[in-house]
Amino acid sequence: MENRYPEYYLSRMPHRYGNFPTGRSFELAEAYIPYQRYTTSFSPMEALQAGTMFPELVRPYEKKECEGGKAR
Amino acid sequence: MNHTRTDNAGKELLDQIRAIEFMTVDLNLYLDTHPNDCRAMNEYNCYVRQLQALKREYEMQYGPLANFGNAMSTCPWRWIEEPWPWEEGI
Repeated sequence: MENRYPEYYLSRMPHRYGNFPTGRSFELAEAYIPYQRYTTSFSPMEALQAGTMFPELVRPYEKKECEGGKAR
Repeated sequence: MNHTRTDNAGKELLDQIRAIEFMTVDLNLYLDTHPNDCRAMNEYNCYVRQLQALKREYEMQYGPLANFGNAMSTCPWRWIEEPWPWEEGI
C-alpha cells in the first residue's frame, strides 16, 4: 500500500509502523461509520419487536453452521 | 395478598406504553448524534407527550408504574396491589 502520509508525519511515525525491512508500510486500523440519515421508521409496536425503529438497522439473529463444523 | 389482576385492557395499555417508550429511547439515541434533525425531534416530543398521557391513564386505573416518588398513591398503598412479574400468567 502506498503511504499516504506526507513527509512531515512520516518522520514522526514510530519506526515499527513505517519502515519494515520489506520496505512495505503498514497502517493502523481506523474505523469508519457512515452518517445515518433518518428516512422512515417502524410503527412503535413493530419497532419494539425489531429492537430498533430504523428498518435499515434490523439485524435479526439467525442460527448458522459454524465455520469448519456443525452448529452445536 | 389481595392483588388486583390487571385485565386485558390494562395489558394492552401497558404494551402500548412499552412500545411508545421504546420509540423515545431510540429517537433519543438518534438525536444524541443528530441534534439538528428537527423532524426527529418533533417526533420525539410527540412520543413524549403520548407517553405521559398513556402513563397517567394507566396509573389512574391500575396503580403506579414506578415507585420511590414517581407516582402518588391513593389509600390503601397501591404499589403492592398489582401482581409481581413472577405471578403473571398464573
